[in-house]
Amino acid sequence: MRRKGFHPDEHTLSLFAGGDLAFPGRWFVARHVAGCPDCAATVAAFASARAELRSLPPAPEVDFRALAHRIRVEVAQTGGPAPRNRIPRWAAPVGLGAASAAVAVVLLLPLWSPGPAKLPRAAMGSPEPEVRLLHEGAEAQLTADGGLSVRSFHPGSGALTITDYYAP
Amino acid sequence: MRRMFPSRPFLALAACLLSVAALAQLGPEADGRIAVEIPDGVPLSVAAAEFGNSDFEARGGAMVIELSGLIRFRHEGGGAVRAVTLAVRAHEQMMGGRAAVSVPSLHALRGEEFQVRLNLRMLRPLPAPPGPLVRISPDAVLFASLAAAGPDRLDSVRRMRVREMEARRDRSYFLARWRAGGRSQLASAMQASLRRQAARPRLDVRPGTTGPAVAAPAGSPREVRFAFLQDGSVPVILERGTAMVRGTVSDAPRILLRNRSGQGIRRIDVGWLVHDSAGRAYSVGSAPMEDAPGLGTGESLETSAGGRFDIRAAQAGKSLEIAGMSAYVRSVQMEDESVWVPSRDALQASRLLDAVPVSAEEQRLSQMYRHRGPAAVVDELRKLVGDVPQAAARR
Repeated sequence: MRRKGFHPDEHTLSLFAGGDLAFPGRWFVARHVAGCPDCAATVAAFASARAELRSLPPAPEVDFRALAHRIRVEVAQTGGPAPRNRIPRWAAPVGLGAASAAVAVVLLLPLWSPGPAKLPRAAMGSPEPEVRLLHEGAEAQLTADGGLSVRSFHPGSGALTITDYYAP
Repeated sequence: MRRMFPSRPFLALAACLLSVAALAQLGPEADGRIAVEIPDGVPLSVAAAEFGNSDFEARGGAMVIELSGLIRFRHEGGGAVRAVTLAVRAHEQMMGGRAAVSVPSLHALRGEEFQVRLNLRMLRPLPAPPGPLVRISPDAVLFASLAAAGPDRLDSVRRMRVREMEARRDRSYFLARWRAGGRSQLASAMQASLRRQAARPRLDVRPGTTGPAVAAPAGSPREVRFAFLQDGSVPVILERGTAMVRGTVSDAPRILLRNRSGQGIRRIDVGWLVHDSAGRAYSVGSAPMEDAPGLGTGESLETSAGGRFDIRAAQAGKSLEIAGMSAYVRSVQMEDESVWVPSRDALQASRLLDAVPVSAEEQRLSQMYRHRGPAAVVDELRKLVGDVPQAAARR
């Protein structure tokens, strides 16, 4: 339990432990820590945590552009984040295989809306519905044959890439 | 004392070279899971392919392939490459097994390279047979002369020609603005385009089921006549059209059209707009009339669609009562494979410009303006139009 009297808050102690506290705060805290075993222990804990963090391997690189693109496509396909389906706990042992297969289907099912009816030749096709999502340089559009068309702009090269997913 | 080890710069250089070599070896291209193939008659070669960010994951009975990377092609043919469409195939019969990736507005001369970025999700059943899991090949290449090469199994040539014709129209417009008033006028035209793109009302249109509706649409059905927005140069006249409308649902639109051009017509795309009770126009999209050969000069044809289209405002929960409909010819492919698209003036005069989606090129140029400023757009226009005098370019 911390003793009564003035003690720097944890935020200040963490800055002190990392050497990020500016003068004169640094001087005051150093004086206090020298005479306060509780605060000294807190500072030691922060310093140890920093040392542990340094010894960890670097965070893996994430291709945020690809990730953002994927999210945009999925949002466009589903009209919003898809609700999660919960599998009852009792069903897990028996339904694992079926659930895995279902997950694979569900992953790609939102790529397409129900396809339009097959039309007679020389007839008007179904409309290519208008773009319904405009994000940072990426748009998605349902196509006449039930597929999906995504436009994305790459600022570096100035290229617009149009990806069409076809219904089978 | 003499140094026993190589210098630091030497070690750094060696490490870089080793890393590059290792990365080149690690790409899925190298391990055979992704194959890039060039069909006969396509004047391209693969300069490099990098798919290091791709991921292959077995889920249930299928393999989900997150294809992420780029291919650098070298142009080995004559005229400048203007667009390319790649066919991406994981499995022909499976949902998610086929896709196409197109890049318009390229400018690659003989011996030059251009790159295509791929970022898509594919699916194929398991177990996978031996050989590549994904095959990528050019479906068609469009040249600046509008000639094309490639197997064209995905109707890529027509799509690329339509995009290129729209691109030429819009490049000319922006070029004219720049010539008239330099960068400031170009910048104001680009800003107007971005504002228009942001402000354009959007609809969510879904092809309805062919059977009985699950929830009966509100109101009693009524016949709505199409109003037509005609362009003076259009090769096809839309003469009359009707659709049955009930609430937000439109059934079986019918349009009578007449060919007034001097040659036969292969395909027509009709742009379709709906109007709400406040008079706002929403672009529903394009209704393609495929396989319309035999529509000779002066002949008429009535087309109909059997589908039911549920039209909703883009914001969830906001319903739109269809008060009226209008249509315009968005593109026509003639018998000789040439393509007609409406002029910018005609779109402006009919106030369609505010309602219909911008072309891929206008979107690209406006995004380029947004990210890199007017100078980059000027450089791009100079590159693609090629007839811009240097004095004008410096303005």
